[in-house]
Amino acid sequence: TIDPGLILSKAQKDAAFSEGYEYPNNQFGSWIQHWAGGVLISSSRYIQQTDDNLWNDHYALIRNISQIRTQLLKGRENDPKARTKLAIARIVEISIWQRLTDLFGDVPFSETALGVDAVNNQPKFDTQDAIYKKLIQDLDAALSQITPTDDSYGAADYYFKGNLTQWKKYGNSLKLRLGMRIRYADAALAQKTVTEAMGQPLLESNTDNAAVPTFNDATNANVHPVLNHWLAGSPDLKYLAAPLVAQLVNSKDPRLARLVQPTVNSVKAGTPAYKGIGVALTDELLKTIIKDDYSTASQTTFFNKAYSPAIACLAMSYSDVCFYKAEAALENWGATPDQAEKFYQDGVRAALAQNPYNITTVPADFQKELSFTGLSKDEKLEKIGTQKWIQLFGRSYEAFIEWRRMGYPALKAGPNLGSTNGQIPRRAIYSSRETLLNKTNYDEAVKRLANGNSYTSKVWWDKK
Amino acid sequence: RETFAQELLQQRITIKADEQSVKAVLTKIEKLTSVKFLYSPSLIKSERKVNLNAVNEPLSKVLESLLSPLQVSYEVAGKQVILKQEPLPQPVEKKASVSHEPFAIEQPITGIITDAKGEILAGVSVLVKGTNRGTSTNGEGKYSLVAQPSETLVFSFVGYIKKEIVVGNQTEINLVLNEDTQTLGEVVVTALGIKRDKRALGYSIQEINGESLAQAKEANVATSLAGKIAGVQVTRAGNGAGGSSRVVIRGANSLVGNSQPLYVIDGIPMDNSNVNSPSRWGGIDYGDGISNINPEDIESMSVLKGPNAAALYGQRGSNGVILITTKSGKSRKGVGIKYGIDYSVGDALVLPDFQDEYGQGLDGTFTHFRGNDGKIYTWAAAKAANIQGIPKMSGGRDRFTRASWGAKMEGQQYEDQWGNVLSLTPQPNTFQTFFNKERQMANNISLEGGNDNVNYRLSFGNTKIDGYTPGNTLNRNNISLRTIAKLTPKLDLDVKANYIGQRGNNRPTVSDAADNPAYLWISQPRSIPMSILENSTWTAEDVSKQLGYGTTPFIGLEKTYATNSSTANPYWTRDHTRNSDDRQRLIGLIKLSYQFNDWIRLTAKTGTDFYTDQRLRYREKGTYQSQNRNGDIIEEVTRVREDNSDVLLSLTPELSKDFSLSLNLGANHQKFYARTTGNTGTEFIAPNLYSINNTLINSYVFNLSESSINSVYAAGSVGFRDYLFVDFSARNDWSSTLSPANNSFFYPAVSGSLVVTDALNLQNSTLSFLKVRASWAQAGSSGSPYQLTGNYALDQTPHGGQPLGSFTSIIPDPNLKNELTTSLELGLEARFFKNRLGLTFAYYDASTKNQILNIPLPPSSTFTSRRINAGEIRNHGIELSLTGTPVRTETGFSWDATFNFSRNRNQVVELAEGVSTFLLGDDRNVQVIATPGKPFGTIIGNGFQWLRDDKGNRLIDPTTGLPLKTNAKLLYEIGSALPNWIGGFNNTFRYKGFSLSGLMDVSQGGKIFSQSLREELVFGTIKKTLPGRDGSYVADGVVAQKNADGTWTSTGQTNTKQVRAQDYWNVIAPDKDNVVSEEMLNDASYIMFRELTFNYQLPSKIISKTPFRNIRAGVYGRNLFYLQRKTDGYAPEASSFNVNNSSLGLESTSLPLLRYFGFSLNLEL
Repeated sequence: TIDPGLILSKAQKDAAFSEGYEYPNNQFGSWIQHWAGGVLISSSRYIQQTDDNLWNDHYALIRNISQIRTQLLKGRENDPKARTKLAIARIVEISIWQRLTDLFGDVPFSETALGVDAVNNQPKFDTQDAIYKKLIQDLDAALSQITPTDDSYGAADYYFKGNLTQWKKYGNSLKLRLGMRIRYADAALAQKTVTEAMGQPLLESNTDNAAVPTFNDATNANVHPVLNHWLAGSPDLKYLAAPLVAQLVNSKDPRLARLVQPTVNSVKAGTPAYKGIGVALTDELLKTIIKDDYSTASQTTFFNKAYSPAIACLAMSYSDVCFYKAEAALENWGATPDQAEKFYQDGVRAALAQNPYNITTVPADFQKELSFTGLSKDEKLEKIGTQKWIQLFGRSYEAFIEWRRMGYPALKAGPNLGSTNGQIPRRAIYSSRETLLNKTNYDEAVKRLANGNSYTSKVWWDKK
Repeated sequence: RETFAQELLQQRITIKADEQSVKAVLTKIEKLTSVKFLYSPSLIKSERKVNLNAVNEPLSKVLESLLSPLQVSYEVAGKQVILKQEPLPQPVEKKASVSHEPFAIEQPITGIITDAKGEILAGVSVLVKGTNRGTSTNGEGKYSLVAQPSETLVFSFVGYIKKEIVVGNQTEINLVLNEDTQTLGEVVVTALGIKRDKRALGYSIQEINGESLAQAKEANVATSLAGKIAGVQVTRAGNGAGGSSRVVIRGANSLVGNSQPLYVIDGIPMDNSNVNSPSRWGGIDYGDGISNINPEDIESMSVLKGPNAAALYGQRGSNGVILITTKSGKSRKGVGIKYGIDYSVGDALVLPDFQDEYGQGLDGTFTHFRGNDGKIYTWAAAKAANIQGIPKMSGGRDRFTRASWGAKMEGQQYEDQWGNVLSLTPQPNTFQTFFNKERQMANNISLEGGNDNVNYRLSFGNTKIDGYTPGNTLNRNNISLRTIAKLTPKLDLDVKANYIGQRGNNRPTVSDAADNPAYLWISQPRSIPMSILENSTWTAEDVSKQLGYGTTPFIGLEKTYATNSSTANPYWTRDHTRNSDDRQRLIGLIKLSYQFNDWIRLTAKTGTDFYTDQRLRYREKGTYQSQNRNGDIIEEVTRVREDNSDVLLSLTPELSKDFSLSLNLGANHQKFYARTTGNTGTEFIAPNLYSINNTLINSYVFNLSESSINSVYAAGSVGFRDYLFVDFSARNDWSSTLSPANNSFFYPAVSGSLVVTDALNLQNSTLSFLKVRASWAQAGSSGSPYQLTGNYALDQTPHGGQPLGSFTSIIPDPNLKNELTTSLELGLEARFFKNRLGLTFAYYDASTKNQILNIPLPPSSTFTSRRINAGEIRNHGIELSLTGTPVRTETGFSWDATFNFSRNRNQVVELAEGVSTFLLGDDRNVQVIATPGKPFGTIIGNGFQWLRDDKGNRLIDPTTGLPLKTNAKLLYEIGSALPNWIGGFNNTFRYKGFSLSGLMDVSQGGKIFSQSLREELVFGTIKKTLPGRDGSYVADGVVAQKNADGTWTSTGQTNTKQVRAQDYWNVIAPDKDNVVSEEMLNDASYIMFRELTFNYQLPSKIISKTPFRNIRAGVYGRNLFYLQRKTDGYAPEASSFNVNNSSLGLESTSLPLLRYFGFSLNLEL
């Protein structure tokens, strides 16, 4: 056997890093118009294909993290040396499950990850509805199992270095996220879950962020995934999308220069300017692109190996939590609507303060973005959604998930019709390996999807 | 021949006979020695009882004491001893002893007798027909006697066709005697190295002599088996000098790994593994074990097809066994020296069918424009604004910038992507410019000699290859020493040491990897001059004027025209990256055998095959593919050792005059060990220093594998009256790779054969020989070590000082059992028309059960596969060989032809409970699977599919005129990778010293999915994309109409709408991941003129005037041309990039197959 800490480390790191690499950025990141994938990542142009790696890698993450409960510390729920470690591993696992089902919808869940002695060759797909119910239950159980006097993971725990108070906060925040995600699909459960979570300690500042440190002086496996995207990826796939750049420019967002690189030609001409490429362009439009007229991510921060301090890779941020709290407050779930603006502002300030922006004073001409004054509830949600969208730059899965849930910011699909007749995809496509090897259960799950296993079918909670 | 006869007669035997028939005694001697007696039973009264008692006496003496009282004399021809009733006449050279018949008109007649090859024949009997006058030829093949003109001379020699010549007025009669090969009892090497008469075998075995492998030399001797043996499929990927070959006998038995046979050299199994073989994502083929063997050292190769012949090898024989017997010394006077030189030149046989009409660009024109203001515009923008300037090319990764869909190349001025002003002209011969002709030179020298008690053979061979890929060289030295000695009259010693030193340099990377040199050229814009790329680093000028590369080029970086992960600049690869490998190998054998008495022999032998393989690879700073462009290095050493020790007790008791029996009892211990250690380093710190400690980050490479197998076995043969034979064998293995409860397995085999013609006395002028045979056998495999338990592994790089752990993705099974192959074989051998025509037929049905499989699981199980005993694969098929001599004339001309045909059906009967599909391999847009009800190697497209009507016509969109495809990628079956049948057709013509031989290699059926074709179509680089570039392309299909629900149906009208070729092909292949799968498929059928050799052996008349005993010279060609080929610009043989089943049916930007022309010269002193 092996020290379970080694397993936890890998799961934390791989799960957090996986959403910021070149491919997710150019597929999911293009769909939500952070990045402009272009012709090389054809899924960015809505040409449908299976998301084999995404699917396979998430189940591999689950295989590893679940070894802690199915083998390494199996049955030691009452042992102080193992009890809290089991709970923490379970919480990490739940966060991975949530992302998996959020991206695909129904996935095999209850019949899998039961340990190496009980592997099911063909697990059936559970509905997302059922998965959410179980995840919330399991999370409650795990949270109640965290005992302050127990052994923890110490240095192996990238998020909190074994700090159990922080684990409690993270667990509650995860519960808040689970509850909020299903608000348009199961309002009652959402309200109950969110309200409960709001009553518990949540992430309180950026120092509570669940994050994996990165190391720029080491191999490319240790650098921030967005930096890895730059170092190891293709020069053709480093361009940002027009809507993101326009949003930052138009709102005079102080993050602009730290997130976006002025175009090569504008710099040459002595008039540095920021411009993003349109997404999902047609062949005809692609021919009109001269790359030097467009912006990449900033080569002084994200795309800079010399940038110091290295940017931590976020799994969940205080800012995330603030935006959920604002939304909850608007619904009167565990907070009152008048508290929403404050939560929202906390969220934006926390986002600005994140490395590499490190902005602690909100510039005057950006203040207006922090105000809810005179806005309808939907407009407030739009503000929350938009700021969340910017804050989630580099976390392409989470950004895609939250954009679908909230419906904000309003994004206009690119002109290429692709496989979706010009719709922005709403989900990822089951792996071809799963299709071949678990056919019966796959077929059954596909039947439950409105448009089959396609980009245009929506997952259960995607009602808005 | 003389030497041989001597050796034969001098071998010592121990034999005792009390009142036994002459026949029985002779049979006994045959068993003790390798001689075969030929006699007419009536003539020598073979039923006569004799007494004999000889202890370790030379055969000559034994024969003398046996035969002289019977007034029987003998002569030796080859291994045959021919018995005659009368004493040989005295040699006629002594004129005094010329016949004294009282006739006046006798005349002296002389002459030389040779065989078809021009070799002299000594000992040919020359008789005057109807008399007992006669003589025989002497050591120079000469005879002389006296006869009358009316008399007829009868020339006869064992193994040759008798000739009768009327004397007439001739005084010199020179003759060529033709070999009568079919009458010779064919001795083949069977399992455990036991030599057997082929007629006694109940299973199929095919032997090929070393000479035919050494002609038209292939550096990897296994490759030269192609087309020569029924049921053996040989493919060799384009993998550089000294690469591996894939040999599959009677179809793949196993879903995992490879189905390669076991190679056994002089009784010692050789490790044939190919450590770190290439995968779909690239890699280097460092050659397998068999590629290390020098073809010149091979006396013969026996192919034991499947378990029936190979059951005695236990679990390792389930894929068949190739037994290699190496040459040994002969006792002779003085030292025999042989020298041979072989030189060949190889060049690509099939190249991509490049178009040389249209240059880089899109829509029939350029993509960009540099205005006189120095600014760069898109082509359309420049035209619209009527900007003056020059067309400009762009770098980039996609077809919008770097495809060859541009303007017709007519010498237009343009600026390339780096700012060079060039004229747009065709740049043909890409491959010819970059690649070299492969030159291969092999020199071999051997010394041999010996006496009654000791013989030896020492050989040295050097093979030097200057490969097709520039910088790729191979230098191999083989030194072999073998000596066989009689330590005491009863104790024999056989010692062999074979040293192989092989050094390879700059072997090419294969498959889907940036530095595969073939990868870049297939998509390279047809207008980029090679000279531009040859300066393979970015200069300041390049950096300042470049367009479209992205934002990272810097001075000194590897210069590529695109930033694709798959497009390294081959010139950079040639000049700034290196790999080398050094393999030191020793194959050794010590064998002692003790002859207790005339029927008990005990042999003990131990052998080892061990080697060290040291590999170094580095890429300089600036290499685009290396981490942060800073270069990398890997150095590793693999040590492999396989030891085998055997004891074997052979019993050949005398049963009765009708029954013969031989029995072998043995035990074997096999031990295997492999260990790899090494380091990788990334990012060089100081430039131009290529050592691990000059890297920023380094980590270890480590691998260890150990296993052993203990076995006992028994094999026996019972013969009845030399026409009915029953063989049986049994082996029990204990393997370390399975748990003690499951690690013992028993493999039985039984076979029988009946020589019908002898048993029923059916021989007539039509049917000369008929044998039927049947066999049943079991064999299996216990899999690889460390498969019983799951394990945790650590990531190569820790993160922030914290190691990262993960659990194995394969579910282990501690209760694994061995695999089991059960095989039934039925066969027939017949010869007709006095052995002029021979036919061999075999039917086999082999089924492998309980395979140790990593059954692939759906990812949702969280594991990639489960290791279990599962499944059943059935291979059944037929093999047919025809051999014949259509023409044979008195003048010495002969035509021999051999045809072989085999058809194997590979069926997946079942996989595992709840598992319906086994994934063999996958690549871009394609998966290869095995699933019950479908043939092994079914190709599943994982891409777009055409929309078709119910008649199979493609539906054409009426608005665009382009074929309609599915909205998204999907999985659908597109073909099968395995051929329907394979065969070979060999013809040899001989006339005197000349021989001309040609081999045709045939494979029919099966498909290949080509990744090269995909690249070529995306980028419009091949001729296939030329028709209709002007907009006159009409897609094949019927016009469709769109229904209300968005689906399409046919209108029934044939499409006539003209479109641009570019638009058509871009529907099929818009980029590398979105192709219409079925369009990438080629038929793999081929008929290849594989080999043509022409040899000339100098006639003895000339040789006798030189110091040489033999001089032979020849020219040859290999892979000459296809009579049939259906692939697009690559060889159908390149249908896999490694030897594993996982690359079946997948062509991945392969290096071209080479055509070789060569000559050879052999001298013998």
